[in-house]
Amino acid sequence: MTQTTPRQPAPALHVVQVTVNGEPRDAAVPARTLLSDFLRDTLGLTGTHVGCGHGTCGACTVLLDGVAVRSCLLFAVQTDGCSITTIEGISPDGTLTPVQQAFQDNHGMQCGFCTPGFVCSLTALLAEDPAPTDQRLTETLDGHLCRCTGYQNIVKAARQAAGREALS
Amino acid sequence: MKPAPFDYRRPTTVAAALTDLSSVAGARVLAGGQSLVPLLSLRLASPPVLVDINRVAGLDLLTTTDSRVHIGATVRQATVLASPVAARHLPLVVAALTRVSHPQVRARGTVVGNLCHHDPASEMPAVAVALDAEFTVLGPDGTASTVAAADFFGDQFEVAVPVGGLVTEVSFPVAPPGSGAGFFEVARKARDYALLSAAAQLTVTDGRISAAAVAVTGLGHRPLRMDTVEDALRGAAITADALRAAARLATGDAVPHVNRRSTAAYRTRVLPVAVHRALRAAAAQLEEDR
Ligand SMILES: Cc1cc2nc3c(=O)[nH]c(=O)nc-3n(C[C@@H](O)[C@H](O)[C@H](O)COP(=O)(O)OP(=O)(O)OC[C@H]3O[C@@H](n4cnc5c(N)ncnc54)[C@H](O)[C@@H]3O)c2cc1C
Ligand code: FES
Ligand code: FES
Repeated sequence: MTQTTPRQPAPALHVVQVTVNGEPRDAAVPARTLLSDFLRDTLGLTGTHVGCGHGTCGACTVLLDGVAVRSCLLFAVQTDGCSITTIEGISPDGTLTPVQQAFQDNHGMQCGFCTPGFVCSLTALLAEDPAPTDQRLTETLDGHLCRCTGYQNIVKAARQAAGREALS
Repeated sequence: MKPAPFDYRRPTTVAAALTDLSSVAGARVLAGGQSLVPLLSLRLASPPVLVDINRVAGLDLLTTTDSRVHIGATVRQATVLASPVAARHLPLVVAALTRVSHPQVRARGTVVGNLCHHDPASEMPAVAVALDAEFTVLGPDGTASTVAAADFFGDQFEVAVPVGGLVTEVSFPVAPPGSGAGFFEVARKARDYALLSAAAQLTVTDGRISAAAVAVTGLGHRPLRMDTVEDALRGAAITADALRAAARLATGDAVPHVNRRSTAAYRTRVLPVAVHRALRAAAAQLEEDR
């Protein structure tokens, strides 16, 4: 925002009405507000992390109408009328979901920055395909970067969540 | 890192989209946003108006008519990959799309948007050129024309869409019975952009190759059809020797700075190798289907 010069008129605001984690939310934001910033800054849901901000890392992954997408590559205004699930809403009752439990059991995180993205992606995959092939699992994990774990424990967690033996 | 301010339009009809696109010079189509939004966030582009076509009625159709499969402008890459129609009729499109980014990106990215973006490191332009894809391009006044893939791709990041115009669909011919498809890319990581990629589809009739379609991207600024390779294959028996000999004929002028990750000399060197591997993959698929 610092680059906005005083000469420019205030940008038009767009009302965005969405269901976030089961609750109706609305706010008026400029068109250029990314969904990631809308969730974090406008709605205060800071569990969605922003790593790269241009589609490479997957930290910002959320579920849009049940599908895992990168929230830094969507404008909030585009999601008007849609349903969004963030990491804060991934467990409806607040207890660990099988995916979250698997990350804990397998020590699938270190700093945890990448974890919300991984958990959201795996949750979407397993909802669609409860017994994915290893190839599908890897393909999904591949959409995320983790700078700490070296991935081995994340793969183990993913296999456990998919109901399979972790590869030792 | 934030996009510069822009006016946002969300038309629901093609006519309204064209009006919005013509309203201000520099107005740009927003499809899946998986290439455009990074450009905006990095401020490499700052169009005054974005015309979001995601809710335009009728652009989300995947249909099969008179031996072609038609893919509308808002059909997601993930939708095509999950579609039985594509699995059956467009094996080469499927083989290439699995290399285009990750499932989370393909969930939004469109086939048409990917082709309109025309990154020289992109996979799908090779498929479009190899299979003689056709684009339905609307001019700003709504006049529709059919543009062949050979005429669609200009210099890198340029395509034959007039200012204020819009692509409504791309169509690919249904693979004839007895076809096998193969795609091979040289890339640093799986699902990353390619340094060089080769697409091949072989059709075999009575033990001989009756049709061969081969093209590459990454060599220069636009996709390149490998005519000499195709000519060598047509009429040949499908043997390991024939594939190897034909692949050796793959040549083309490599442009030095297509990307920062490889030299022209390297890409020239791997060209016949990539073509050979694509051909082998196509032959292997034929073998499997038998
Ligand atoms: C992490 C990551 C990895 C990626 N890896 C690859 C890869 O390996 N290979 C690859 O090819 N791509 C890759 N991409 C880009 C790919 O995912 C995009 O989906 C695609 O290039 C653009 O399609 P889109 O629908 O998202 O279009 P957008 O980003 O919305 O648009 C792209 C351009 O095309 C124009 N456009 C779009 N639709 C139309 C239309 N109907 N008519 C006229 N103009 C139109 C837009 O104005 C814009 O200029 C990657 C992206 C990310 C984020
Ligand atoms: S912050 Fe969205 S992909 Fe990195
Ligand atoms: S745990 Fe630190 S980035 Fe993945």
